[in-house]
Amino acid sequence: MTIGVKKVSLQRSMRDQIFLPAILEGLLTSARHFFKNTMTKGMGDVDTIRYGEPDVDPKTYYPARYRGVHRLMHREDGSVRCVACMCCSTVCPAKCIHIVAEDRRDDAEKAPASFVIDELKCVVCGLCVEACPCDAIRMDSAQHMTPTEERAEAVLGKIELMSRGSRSVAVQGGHGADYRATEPAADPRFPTAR
Amino acid sequence: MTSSDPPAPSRPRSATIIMQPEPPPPPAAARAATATTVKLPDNKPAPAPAAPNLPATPEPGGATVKLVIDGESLEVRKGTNVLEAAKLLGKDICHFCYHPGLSIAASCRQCLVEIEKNPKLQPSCQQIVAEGMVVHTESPAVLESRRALLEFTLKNHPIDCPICDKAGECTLQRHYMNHDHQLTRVDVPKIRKPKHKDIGREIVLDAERCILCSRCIRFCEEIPGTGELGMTFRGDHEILDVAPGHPLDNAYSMNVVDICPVGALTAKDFRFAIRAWELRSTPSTCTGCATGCAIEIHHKHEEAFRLVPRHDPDVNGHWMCDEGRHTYKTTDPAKRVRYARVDGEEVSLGHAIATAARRLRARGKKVAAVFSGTATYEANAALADLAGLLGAERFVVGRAAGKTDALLRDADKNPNIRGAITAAGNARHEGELALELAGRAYDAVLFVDGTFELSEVVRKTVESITSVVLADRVTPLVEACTIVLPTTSWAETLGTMINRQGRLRVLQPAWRAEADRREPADLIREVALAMGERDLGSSRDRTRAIAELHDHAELRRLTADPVAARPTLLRFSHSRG
Amino acid sequence: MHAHAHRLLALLLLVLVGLLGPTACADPPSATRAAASVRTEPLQVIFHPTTGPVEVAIVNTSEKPVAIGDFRIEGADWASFSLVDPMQAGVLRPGDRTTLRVAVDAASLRGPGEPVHGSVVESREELPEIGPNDYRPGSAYLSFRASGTTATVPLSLESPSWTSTYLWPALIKVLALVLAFIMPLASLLTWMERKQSAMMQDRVGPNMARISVGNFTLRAWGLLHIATDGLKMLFKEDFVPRRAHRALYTLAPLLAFVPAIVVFAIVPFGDALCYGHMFDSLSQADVDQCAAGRGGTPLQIAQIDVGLLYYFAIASLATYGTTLAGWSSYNKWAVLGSLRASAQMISYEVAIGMTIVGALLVYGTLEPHALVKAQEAAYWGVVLQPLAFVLFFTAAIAETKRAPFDLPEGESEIIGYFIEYSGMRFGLFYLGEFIEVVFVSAMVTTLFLGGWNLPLGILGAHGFSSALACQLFFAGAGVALTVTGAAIWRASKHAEGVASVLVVIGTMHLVVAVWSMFTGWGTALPHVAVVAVGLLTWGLKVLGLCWLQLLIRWTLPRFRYDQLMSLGWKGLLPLSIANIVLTAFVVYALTPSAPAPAATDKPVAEAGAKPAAPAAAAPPAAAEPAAPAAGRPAAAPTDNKPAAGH
Repeated sequence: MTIGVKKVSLQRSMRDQIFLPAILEGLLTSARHFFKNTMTKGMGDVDTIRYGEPDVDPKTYYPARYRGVHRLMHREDGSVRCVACMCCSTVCPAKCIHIVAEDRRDDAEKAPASFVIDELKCVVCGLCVEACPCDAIRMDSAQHMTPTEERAEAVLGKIELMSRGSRSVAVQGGHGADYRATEPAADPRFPTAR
Repeated sequence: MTSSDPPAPSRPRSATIIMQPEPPPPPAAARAATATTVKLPDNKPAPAPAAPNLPATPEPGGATVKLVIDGESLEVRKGTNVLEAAKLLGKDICHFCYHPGLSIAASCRQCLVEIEKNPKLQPSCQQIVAEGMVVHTESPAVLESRRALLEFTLKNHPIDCPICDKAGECTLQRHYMNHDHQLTRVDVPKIRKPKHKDIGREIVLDAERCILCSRCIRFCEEIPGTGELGMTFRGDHEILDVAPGHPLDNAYSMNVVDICPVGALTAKDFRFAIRAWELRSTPSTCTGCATGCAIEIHHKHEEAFRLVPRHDPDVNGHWMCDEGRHTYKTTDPAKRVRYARVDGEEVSLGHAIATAARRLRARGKKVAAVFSGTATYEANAALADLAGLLGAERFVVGRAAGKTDALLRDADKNPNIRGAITAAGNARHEGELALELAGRAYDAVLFVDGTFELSEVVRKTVESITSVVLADRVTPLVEACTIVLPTTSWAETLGTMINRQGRLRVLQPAWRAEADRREPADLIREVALAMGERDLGSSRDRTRAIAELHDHAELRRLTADPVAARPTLLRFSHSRG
Repeated sequence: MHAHAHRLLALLLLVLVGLLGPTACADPPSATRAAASVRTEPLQVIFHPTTGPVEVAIVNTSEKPVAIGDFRIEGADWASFSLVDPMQAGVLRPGDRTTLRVAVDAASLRGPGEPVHGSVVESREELPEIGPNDYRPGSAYLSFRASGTTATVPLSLESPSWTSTYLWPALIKVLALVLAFIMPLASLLTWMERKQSAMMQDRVGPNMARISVGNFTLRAWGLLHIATDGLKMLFKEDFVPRRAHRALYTLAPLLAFVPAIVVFAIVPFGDALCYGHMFDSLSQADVDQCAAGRGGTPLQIAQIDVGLLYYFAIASLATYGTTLAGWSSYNKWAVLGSLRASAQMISYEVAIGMTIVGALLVYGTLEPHALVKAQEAAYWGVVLQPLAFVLFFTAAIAETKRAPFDLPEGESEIIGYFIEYSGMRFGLFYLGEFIEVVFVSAMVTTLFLGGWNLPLGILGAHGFSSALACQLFFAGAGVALTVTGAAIWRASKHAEGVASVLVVIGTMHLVVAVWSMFTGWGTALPHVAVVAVGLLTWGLKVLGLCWLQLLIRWTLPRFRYDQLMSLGWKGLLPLSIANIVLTAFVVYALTPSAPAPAATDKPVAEAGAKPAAPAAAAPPAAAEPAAPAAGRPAAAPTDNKPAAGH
């Protein structure tokens, strides 16, 4: 086996060496964009979506699956849906969710005594929403994390996260007793009968 | 002998494994009688009848039985059950109610296997091996029965894994993932049962999660012999409960949490503290009393969350007392001594060591060296060397005596009193120390840890003379001493102890000690070096010498390769029960 | 809402244009008492005590030959003024001109007080001492007969007052230039920098700053960001590193900012302003007289003979600001930045100096105002010195320390010499940088783009050089404005007010062009209009060059350090020296061996006829350093425009 050596010519033409033609080309390209974007309808090639414009409703621009600031959903009685299972804090790659669990004296049994998200550390990946088994945490608030005066203000607590939330009536564990209505296709790995 | 009958694989493997069924832990008196003496690396003669912790050799005359499991033939001791025999082949037959430390109930039917020439599937936990038996653990009938039984078990299980403390180390979860893994077909409401019932000093019961395996009931009857737990009602309304007025409060009650295959019984102490999958596990030894039970430290980062027993047939079997489980609190980060102090001021470790060496070394000083039954053998031995250099008077101190019983708890609450006495050699009692300190007989005193209990008079003496203490956490003694050198706690130390049987017990570091904390023997070595004396050797050197003397493979591995001491993540790696 | 504002603005502009239009189109009211058939250049002669003989040209503006004669000096102080040469009566053909010279005997007008008009003053009081600079104003007039009528040219002597002749006009010019041009343009550049780069890169750019009053919201394409930036800088923390040298740390931004402003003193932004003749159509001779400070003021803060040397001297001071900022900050990155800056400045200042020598050889002066006049007389610098133009522009951009020469800042590697600066201290660096951009543009305009002049000399001191030039100008400007307005109208619904204004103004330009076609209007414009067009032209040139610099800054990547040095020492410097040598040879070859005196007695139209293009490198007027400067005879034969004789 031989090793071939490819010789690359490093010679540049006079035109390349004096650079001026290339510089002029570049300037013309820039100028063309400038005039196209200032003088033609709809700002030429500018495709920016004007988030934040006062007459633009963000929801019309945000895709349905846009991930904004976290929010905590409510139960029927207005209490927090979260059961402090720590799935979100476990899966969080930025380790920005900190939950302290406490006893809850009804059948829900476990609830977060404190639920803190450091939005400055959050990488907005949405894995916490994926991991949540009971539709308690969502990121569909269609809100950016707003700038804050103090770092501490970007660390959101349970009350603040719940203030953005709404009631969720999702059934824990899926479809419940009505599962037959929407029974998924049988998993071929697990034959159900002989 | 019928190895041709089963639907064996084309190339049947053949293995001969001699299995010795495990004897139940001997009663305390018997253990005391069989106590051995640990060889120690000083020049003291130490008879060594039998090296502990070695694998038991089969008795020459023991009867064995040959059988075939899934095409692999093996030879086991007579009287073994099929489940244990399969375990020797690495086959984990799933089960709920069987526990090697308890009697066999065969009530869960989860461990059914197919045995040739037997018309029905047999529970492998109850089935004793017989000569020529041919067992199939993976046949279609077995697999189907497993899945069916799991589906049945799950019929009334609430599947509230998100809020269950057992999630992540749950036997039911593991079996469902391995053997069932199908969607629910239940379209009737589940039976509702008491969700959280306080049934004792340490335990909360969730009757909904209970799968009625009766392990806890058998434990209470057989191990502590108190029998608080029992079943009430019938059919799918059957629940586990205690009798009114008789809560579950025996000294070993928290073992039911470990043996519970689901999250029905949870410890109040650990309840909701942390998820099991966040914990890491490091094998170590309990320092609660002289028994020295084998344990695992379950910890996250630099904080321990619980202690659970580790199987050690010679010392504690499968169990551990509640009192010992609470000793993880002695590693509380809030109470740690992090930096050295001299005369009440935080100083650098080097400065504190230099100060201690200068004050201890001053000419004509009378020095007392105080050995401790709660410090490691290495620490005590290093102190003995230093005491020899200083010509110090030697005392041995320890914790006060406590409760005892015939099972595991020892009245002597010092895990290493034998090691301390052995290391100290010609030592005197702590009562004498208190008297002499009260009489101001010494100019300086050096404590190897902060255990010694102070009376008011002694405290004044300690505050006024040169008193050096090697301490991992704040105690009254530490607050009184003039020089405090920060040491690693027992959960951060690689070291050895000698329990009441004279067995060598190994402490393994679960996490790296932060700040200026050092192993006590290393600190004593530094003090000696600061005095200009010879190098006493590091703590690791002392441990390695013990390992070599005992030919202790595990200990040698730990001293040679610190990476080996790395803890394992507890995410389904050890599901309890 | 703001669309209404735009419409309102458009209406207001329409009214203004409607009012001013007739004024501009009406025949300018004449201040001269010359007969309709001839006119004199200048209309009025103003002497200073040091002024030598002044030429007065008599031009036949009628269609018929005119007989002139009977020259005499009359008036109160007739004895103090004299005709230098005896003048003969003669006949001027149509369009022809003749010149005579008038001088003042200033010594006879020494003394304080009012003009005495021949009466005897009796006073018992002792007469005060007469200082060396005390002159009383003298006035007389030159009269001559032309086709039967008598024409007069007022003559007067003014003693220049340090305050009213020099200080106050200079201060007013400083204020006007700094407050009305430099600072607004520099601030505008901070916005342009971002908006233009956005447009070049297909982004939106700044547009969020707004003023909201009730329903009314003013956004103005993000122009308000200028104000918000200023407020931000004023209110930011004024940080001083703990181990910084406080005095130098404070001094450095000032050293960066002040020279950038001060150096504008030599930039001519117009020809001259004549106080008394705002609405007269003036000749070049009038304007030159005003430019010399007699009866007007030059539109330049300081006329210094060595103006370009002043530029080098002051601009180099800014390097101290940069270097001291880096050194006093006690920061290794800052020191690196300042080291780079000083090395870069030294390298490129040499190239700048060398390139200017070429222009000096061609135009024969270092005084910027005279330089512009010389370009007006011949060709612009960009035509005669194209290489020097490129070299100077390149080196001057390097002097501003902006991309592609922004190594001293190098925000991706070492934040630069001002890394530790914050608040308004940083703001001074930031603003100073943009002022330098404006200055580079102004300097290039002065040296190479003919200053305030429109191209091809289509606009002279009196108005357009011909009716055709007027029509071309208005037609071109009208088409450009209308097309731009229409494009903006199409592009943005928010800008329809501004767009409609542009379209309306453009249309009016077209109307003016058509009107000129029928009436021949445009060759005699009021002085104020000519000055305004000159200022506007100068401003547009500077703005265009600023735009070009931003275009370069946002197009080209940063040089590597060795490339920077290589370009400076091995590229620009040899090329500029080559340019000097080449220019010197050409100038030497085209210059007559014995410099002939300028033919002052011949019709200027002949003397100033432009030679063929290559020979223009050394026009006769420029070969001899006869360009007007302060204190020289105002009627030096520089009025050699081909279109001057009509």
